[in-house]
Amino acid sequence: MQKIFALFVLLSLSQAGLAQLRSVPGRVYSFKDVKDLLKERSYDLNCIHWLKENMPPVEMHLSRDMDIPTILMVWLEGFKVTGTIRGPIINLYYTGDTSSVTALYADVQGNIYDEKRRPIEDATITVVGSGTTCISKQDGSFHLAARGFTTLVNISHIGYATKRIEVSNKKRQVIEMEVAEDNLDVTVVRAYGSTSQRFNPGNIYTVVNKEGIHTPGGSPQDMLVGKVPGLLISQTNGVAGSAYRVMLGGQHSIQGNNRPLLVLDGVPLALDGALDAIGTGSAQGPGGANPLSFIDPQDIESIEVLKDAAATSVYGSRASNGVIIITLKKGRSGDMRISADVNAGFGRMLHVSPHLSTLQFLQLRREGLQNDGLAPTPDRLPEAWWDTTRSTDYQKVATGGTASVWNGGIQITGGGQHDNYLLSGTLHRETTVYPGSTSVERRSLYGYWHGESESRKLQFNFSGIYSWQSNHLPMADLTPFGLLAPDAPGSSWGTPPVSIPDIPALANNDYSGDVYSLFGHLQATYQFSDHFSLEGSFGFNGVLTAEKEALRIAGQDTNYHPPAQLTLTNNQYKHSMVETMARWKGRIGQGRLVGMLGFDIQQRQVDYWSQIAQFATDADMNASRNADPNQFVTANNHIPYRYAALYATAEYIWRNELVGTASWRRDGSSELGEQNPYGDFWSVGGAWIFTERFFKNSNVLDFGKIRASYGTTGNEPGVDSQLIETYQPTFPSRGYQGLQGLHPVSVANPRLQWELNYRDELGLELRFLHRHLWFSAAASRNWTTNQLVRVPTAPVVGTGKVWRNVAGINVVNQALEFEIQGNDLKIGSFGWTSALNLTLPKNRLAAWPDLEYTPYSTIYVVGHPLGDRKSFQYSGVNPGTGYYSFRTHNSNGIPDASEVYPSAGLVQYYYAGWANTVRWLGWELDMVMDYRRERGYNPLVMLDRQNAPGMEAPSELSNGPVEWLDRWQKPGDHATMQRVTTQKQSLAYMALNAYNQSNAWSMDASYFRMRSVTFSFRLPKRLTDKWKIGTAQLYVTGNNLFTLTRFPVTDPETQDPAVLPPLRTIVGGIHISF
Amino acid sequence: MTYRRYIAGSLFVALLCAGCRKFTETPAEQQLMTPSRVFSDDADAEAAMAGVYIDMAYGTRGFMNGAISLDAGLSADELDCRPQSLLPPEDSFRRNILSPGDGLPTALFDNGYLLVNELNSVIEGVRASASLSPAVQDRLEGEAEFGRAFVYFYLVNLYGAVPLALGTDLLQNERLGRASVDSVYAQVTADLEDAQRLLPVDYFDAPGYEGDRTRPNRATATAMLARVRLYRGQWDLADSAASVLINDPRYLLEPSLDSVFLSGSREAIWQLQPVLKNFATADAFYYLLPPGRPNFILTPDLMGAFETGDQRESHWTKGVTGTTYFIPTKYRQTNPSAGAKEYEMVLRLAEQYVIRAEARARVGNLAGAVADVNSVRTRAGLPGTSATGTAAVLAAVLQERRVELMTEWGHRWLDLKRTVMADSTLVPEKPWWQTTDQLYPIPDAQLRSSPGMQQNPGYQ
Repeated sequence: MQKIFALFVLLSLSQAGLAQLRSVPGRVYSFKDVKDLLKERSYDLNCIHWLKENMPPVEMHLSRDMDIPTILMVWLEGFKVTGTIRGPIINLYYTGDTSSVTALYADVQGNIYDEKRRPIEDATITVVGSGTTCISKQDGSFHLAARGFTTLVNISHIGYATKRIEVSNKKRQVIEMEVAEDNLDVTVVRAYGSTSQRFNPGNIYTVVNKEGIHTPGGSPQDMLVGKVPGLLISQTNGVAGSAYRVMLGGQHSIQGNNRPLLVLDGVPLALDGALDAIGTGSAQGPGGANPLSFIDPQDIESIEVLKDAAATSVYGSRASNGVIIITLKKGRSGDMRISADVNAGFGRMLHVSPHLSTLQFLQLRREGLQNDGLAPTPDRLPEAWWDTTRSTDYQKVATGGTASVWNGGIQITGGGQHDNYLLSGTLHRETTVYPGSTSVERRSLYGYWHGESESRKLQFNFSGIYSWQSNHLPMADLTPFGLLAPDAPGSSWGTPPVSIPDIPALANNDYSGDVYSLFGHLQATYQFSDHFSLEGSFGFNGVLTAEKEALRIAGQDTNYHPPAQLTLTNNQYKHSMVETMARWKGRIGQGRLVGMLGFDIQQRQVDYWSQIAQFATDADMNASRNADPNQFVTANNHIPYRYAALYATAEYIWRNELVGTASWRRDGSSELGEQNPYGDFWSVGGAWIFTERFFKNSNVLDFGKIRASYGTTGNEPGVDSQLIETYQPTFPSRGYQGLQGLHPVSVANPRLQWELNYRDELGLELRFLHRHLWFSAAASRNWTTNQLVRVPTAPVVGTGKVWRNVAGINVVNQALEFEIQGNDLKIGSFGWTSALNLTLPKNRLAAWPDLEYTPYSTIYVVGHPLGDRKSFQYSGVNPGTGYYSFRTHNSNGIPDASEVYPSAGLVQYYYAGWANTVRWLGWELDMVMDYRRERGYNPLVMLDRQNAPGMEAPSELSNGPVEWLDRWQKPGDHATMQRVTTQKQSLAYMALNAYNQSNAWSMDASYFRMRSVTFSFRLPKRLTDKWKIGTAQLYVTGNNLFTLTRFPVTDPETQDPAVLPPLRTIVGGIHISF
Repeated sequence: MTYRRYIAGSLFVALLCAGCRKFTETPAEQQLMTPSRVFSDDADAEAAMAGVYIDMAYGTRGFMNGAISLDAGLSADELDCRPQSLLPPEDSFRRNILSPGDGLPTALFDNGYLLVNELNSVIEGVRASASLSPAVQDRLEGEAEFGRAFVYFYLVNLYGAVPLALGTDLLQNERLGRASVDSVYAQVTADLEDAQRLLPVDYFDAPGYEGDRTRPNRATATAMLARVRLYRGQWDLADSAASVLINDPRYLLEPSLDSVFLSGSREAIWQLQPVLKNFATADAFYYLLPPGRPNFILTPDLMGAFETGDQRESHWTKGVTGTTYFIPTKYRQTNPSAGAKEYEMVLRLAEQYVIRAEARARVGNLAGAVADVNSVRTRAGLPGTSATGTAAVLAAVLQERRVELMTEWGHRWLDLKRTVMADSTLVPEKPWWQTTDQLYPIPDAQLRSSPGMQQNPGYQ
């Protein structure tokens, strides 16, 4: 009988059987033992001599009923040896290619998957001891040379916890990796791809959105406040839906764009700044509406903040202010899961100084007249002839209301093995602290869909957002009207010539705006081979605004015969992007190389359309809500923008120890002048993970990395229509002889270029004490040259100003950043996580050739921060005379225009943020606080410029804060304010004017603020199980709970007393998931 | 196989790159209102000219709507600020304490050149256009040249030797220094002569606005030229130019003083139509609002200049707050929402009479001069002048100019300066007067932009 068995057939015997065989300790058989055993059964074993000499003894558990093939299979499993049975003769053959003992063992084979059974590509399998490595292929499979039946290996991959297991070559291994709990290996999104904290050679800070609770701020920026070194985010005012000031790494551009590039799921946003073109204004102020408010925070997975050259340079001409990448949430395969979140609460204006009472106010006014030697006649002091028993707190009337906040959201996710989805819907409603009915409402829908082919070679992701926001607000911030004289009759417009604002009547002037935002991104990848893939991406985002402002006669002083004026504005921002990217990755030598070449085309169109009509009566306006072609003048403008880029990056990681990266990008943009349409940007970077070489067995230091980068970025002009001479409609009027007019508004500058920014950075990252302590430090410098400055043309040119690149201007920003994190520090059943960051920025105008010949010579000072100004040097109130005094040679104490000296202005010295999470059983407390040491505008000087203490102001907006009471009254007084005056011809007024132009304009505006506190309680499992819900969490969140500052008059964040300060909001809610 | 794919990929990218340059050139010309697009058809070109008039007539300050009349009136001895604790910023004109950094004289200068730039743009655009109909092309060029001459006339009179910008080239205009007074006047004269040639005889009749005299015609250019000849001492030319208007049957002195400033006034040579729905002339705004407590009033000196029985005193001025203060009431409509009854009068026939009177007196034609002065006096209800002898007749002409043209377009201010009477007349009225106050300061911004340009004396 001749039986021929290929042993691989045997190998496919049931694993259960093998396991059973192996589980009982067997006897150790040498080659001779097996030969004898076979002999007993009348079989001869033949093989080459080398095999006979070198076959190691094998432990086997054999039983009598086993047939010959089974015995052979058990014996030869794991060897590169095969056998044939021909009658009574068994021949063994060695299948390996070299003759060494170790080569006898078969390769370990297997597949690596993630917890969702998706193959993991590029995982590194390293044999412990020998250091032999192999890499998994696209389908997760690997082959590893072995030296025995079992091999101890480390399996590692970015984003997954490194696994140390014993693998066997006796069967095909199925290995499942778990997503890393090690935050070093969590995926970090970067330009056109991802990396991990471990290997990242650049400065990228990731803020991961907290699962579950939906914080009530309603804007993505809130997630970042106080958390990211180098990033300063401030509210422009306390009106719902207003824009934020975002500055990353300091002020780079003197007059150009200082906003970071915003990238949402790979698509640069059409509106990277504020919706500042929105109408002619609303209470949201000159900054307009927040362009990111269409993204609901609950739909955000993470936000990455990119700072240095290695991270940003590949974004080229738009990256000089850094990049903020927002990544939306993705779906999760598995059974459908639903979570819902509802919360509600209220907000009130943050504390500001109270205004003077009637008694105090009149005292100041009388004192002013007395100081001027004038009698308080009705002409000079009308307020004293009003009903002085009145003392209305107009601050309270204008901004003393309570705002309500309401949020509701639902999220559904699920999917199968090859696709998954996420759908999310939210409603958000906020009101304001103004009188009348005001509201900001947003409804948004977000959807995500992922799909892939069976082979997983073809994959796609789709994400889309639709949001509709409607705002009903007053046409202007009512905060300034809080300055109305406290005994003023605030319910009529007064008798000519005094026009007293009627605050309730002002509410007749309303602004309503609808903002529709649409965002979509489709990305598809095809994996041609193990090494090469091609990616195509299409993105679109559009913002449509429809706004209406009704300035009613009922909202104006009729003594001046004002018309009713209706302003309709429709703006459209449409932006689309097509991107093609080829990626190659593979091993070269002892490292991995990832290379990428991409091409990017972007197109944007901005359309402005507006109509303004004037009507004789409010009724006419209300009747004709829409365009009457005879009454309206339309402004209609299209601003197209086109942009194309070619870019390449390469990154090489050598033995998980050294990382080298380089990028290059060529940009072409229609925003640049005909003579300079292209620019090249590049960067190089590297990192050394020195703990791979040193401190390998340290119990203190787990991880250490030194990184460095150098490169260039640019800053586009962003001034569109300034490139050519253009005409626009004249201001709305009845026309001239029925003809609507056009006039020129700009003058051409064909030489426009981008600002060029060079940056370098050196960073150190350390992790101690078994992942519990993290420390990072970074030192960065960047120089911005070729600055775009809006230079006034000679008045003779007749067109105002024109943008120019001024050669030789150099703005230098330096920063030191530190961060310490304590992760999951356990004290009994308390768990504590804490992150503290500190930034020390330094801004300097290093050079501006011929500054003295420009109109900015009176503003900027070479060698000083951009925020510094030349101004008179204020030296306090003279206790003898009561006048403000200055450094001057003049005998009257008033400095000449030439007596200006550089002095500190708006400067940041340092800022720090501290985030804490404390957990105890189901309870959790989250706190974010920050401290800023900086200078800001002096609100008292800002008030003075409107109206000084004691003076009568137009519209009787003459009141002021209680700080005004600290004034000089008699010789010997030491006061912060000088003697009050009512006369513009007085010496006191000249001193006041000089004071307002002095260095007193800026002051210390440092503050500490408890940004947010969230206290939540997770219902115990026994309750949730009983009620058949997944999880349930109750929470209370307070924003801006308290502030510590010495800043006078108003809030140090907004600084301007004419602007509504931020609100303190408290919200309670519940989050449930099924 | 793989390499072939890479090569194909690289080729693809290379092709895209080649297309890149083309791609980033936006077809801006088609999207934005560039001059070549504006002046490619009659309607848009008309709109551009209308834009100039709207900017001339818009609001209360600007250059031509109110600012010149008010500022120059305050600088001279026509207007005062009503005493009150908060004086308007224009008070610095009254007190002749302007400084180069002040907002108002700066705005006046800037707004003047804003109009110059718009007019230059129209002139360039119209001249370069190949698609406008010839009649429109000529008329618009003429209107723009007339406008430019008018603006430069005031710039040179208020600021002295000013830069002469005649195109819209940024780099060229930035380098301009002062042109001499003579060369500015030469340009003004050339523009007006050109406008005389290009402009039609009749006023442009816009549909719905038939009969309005709000767009200059040939006679308007001639009237302005008459004034320029007078200022330049070209008496015969002034005489003949003014005669053209006086002999033109379309123009006559309105018998009723109340009709002079109305929109249908037959005395009008050129008027500006108010362009805001609820806003009438700047004059009405300044002197009538707020009712009863205006910011600006007539000087006692001017009120004293009216002879007894002068109808203009009762028709064109009015006492307020009892009779403490007097305000001009040439314009009376404050709210034109139901339709503008009054237009801002820029050039009118009465001025041509006094131009010719002065020109005649200067060359010794005293009888002719007296006849012209009397034409104006008769309308005001006064008997003929009793002046005899050249000096007296000239004085009578100037007196007549003072009361007839009061608070109009700075006539008084310019007359005092050109007749070298500013110092002798203003010193008694204004103790702070300095002879260097006759010119307004060149704004700081202009001096900064043009190194080497000198400030007017008295402002250094």
